[in-house]
Amino acid sequence: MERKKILIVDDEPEFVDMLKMRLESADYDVNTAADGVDGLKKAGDAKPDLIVLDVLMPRKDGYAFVKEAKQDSNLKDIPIIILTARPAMEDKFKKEGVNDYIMKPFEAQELLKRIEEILAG
Amino acid sequence: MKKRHKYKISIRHHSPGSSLTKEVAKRKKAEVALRRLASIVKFSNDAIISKALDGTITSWNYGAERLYGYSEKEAVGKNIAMLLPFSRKKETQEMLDKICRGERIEYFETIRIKKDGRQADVALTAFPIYNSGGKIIGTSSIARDISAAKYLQRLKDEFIGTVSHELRTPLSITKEGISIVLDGIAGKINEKQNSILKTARDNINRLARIIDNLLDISKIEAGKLELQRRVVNVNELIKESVLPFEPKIKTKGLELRLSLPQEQVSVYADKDKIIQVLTNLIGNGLKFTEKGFVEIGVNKRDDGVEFYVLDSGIGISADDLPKAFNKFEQFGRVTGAGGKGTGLGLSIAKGIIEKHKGRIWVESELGKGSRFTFSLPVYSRESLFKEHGELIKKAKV
Repeated sequence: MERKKILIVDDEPEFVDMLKMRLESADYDVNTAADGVDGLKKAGDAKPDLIVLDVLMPRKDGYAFVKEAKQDSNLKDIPIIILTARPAMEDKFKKEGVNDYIMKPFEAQELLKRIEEILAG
Repeated sequence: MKKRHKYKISIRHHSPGSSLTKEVAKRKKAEVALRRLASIVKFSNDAIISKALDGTITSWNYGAERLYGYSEKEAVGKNIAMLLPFSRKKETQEMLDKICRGERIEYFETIRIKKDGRQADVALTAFPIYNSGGKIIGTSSIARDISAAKYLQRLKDEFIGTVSHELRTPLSITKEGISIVLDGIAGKINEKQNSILKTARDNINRLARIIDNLLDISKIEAGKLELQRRVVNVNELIKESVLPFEPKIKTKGLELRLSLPQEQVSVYADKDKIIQVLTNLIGNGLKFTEKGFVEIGVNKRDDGVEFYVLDSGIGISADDLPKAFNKFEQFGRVTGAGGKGTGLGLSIAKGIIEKHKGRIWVESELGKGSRFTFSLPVYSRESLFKEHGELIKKAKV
């Protein structure tokens, strides 16, 4: 069975390294991007099955990323999990069509569980 | 024949007691007092402006010159509308209507436009001007420049957001790093490494909780606590809050009692935050009770829904009781791992409950246990519409 592809979009390289390690050990194929601009490009190229997206990033933040992705026919159906959203932003993101959000720092098992649930459809 | 004076003009000096002298003295006194008052108004730092009912500016003091940039010459005779941003025109009309009914406007925060086009945040007090017949002939306002205070407030808000993000980032990296090694993803680890890393991870979690507490209390103090309210079932709230404590209660050999209502009771509240409050209260109950029980219950009252956590623990002394909800207050010895905590839990609980417009209180006696109770008000559709209606109005302006 083909491995599912996940794209991590987050501007903290150390965090990205950790998360990549974790996701790869759970048998996912992982791509990474350091900001919203790079993220949109990589999402278009790699067509991941799911995007794990940080909110606060330079050049283009999580919210702008989501808005643009949902307007793009290529990207709009890719499910997205948001990281570090403040609870107040949750509604705002849900309205834009984001699937789930999880606050940092989180339990890795919890994130993995949510990813599984979303990918199961 | 010599004509006598036809008119008798009295040029002799009036005696001090005469009515004319008294009248002159009175007027002189009044003039002095008036000049003093006029001076106070003129030189006040606050912008004091009087207007006719149609909005024509009739007086303009130094404070107004400083705040708005227009000189007295430039302002008097013009209409007050020149200071209003478009978004506030309706609000000003409403204020005027109020004043014409004889009401005062007390400390009202709003925005005005200065001569150079820049925005000024001001706090206004306004009231009617009466003529001697008691008719309202104009309005007077006193405006204080609160731009500096507003700027500080905005900085504070950004600070809380920034600090939150800055602290969470290294925390999440460390936590995930430790977890990865613990889970064997970076290679096999021995017993000792396992034990050490587990301790490290527990303390990272503890650090995260402390940071959350500090951020919560900052938000509460800044009045920035936001609630995500939904209709929540009370039994659900209790069950979710109690669940993580069940093993610990068992280990300690305590009895867990639940007193839940038979019927379906719901509250309109922020589920996560109420669970946070219950978690704190139950945790405290457990912490300070060595034998007996911890009881959690709900009672439906006329004016609201009451939640309580009762324990048979060491209780709180009469001296300490009034301080229970203060920040950084901790009473009694705490044994066991997990340490002292921040002493902010109850203070945060109070902030959360009060934001819900509820009440929280404690009854306790040293050696006899404690009962912490909080009530959440009943919400009817009407009160909900009213509250949200006001929020929508504010947002529109």
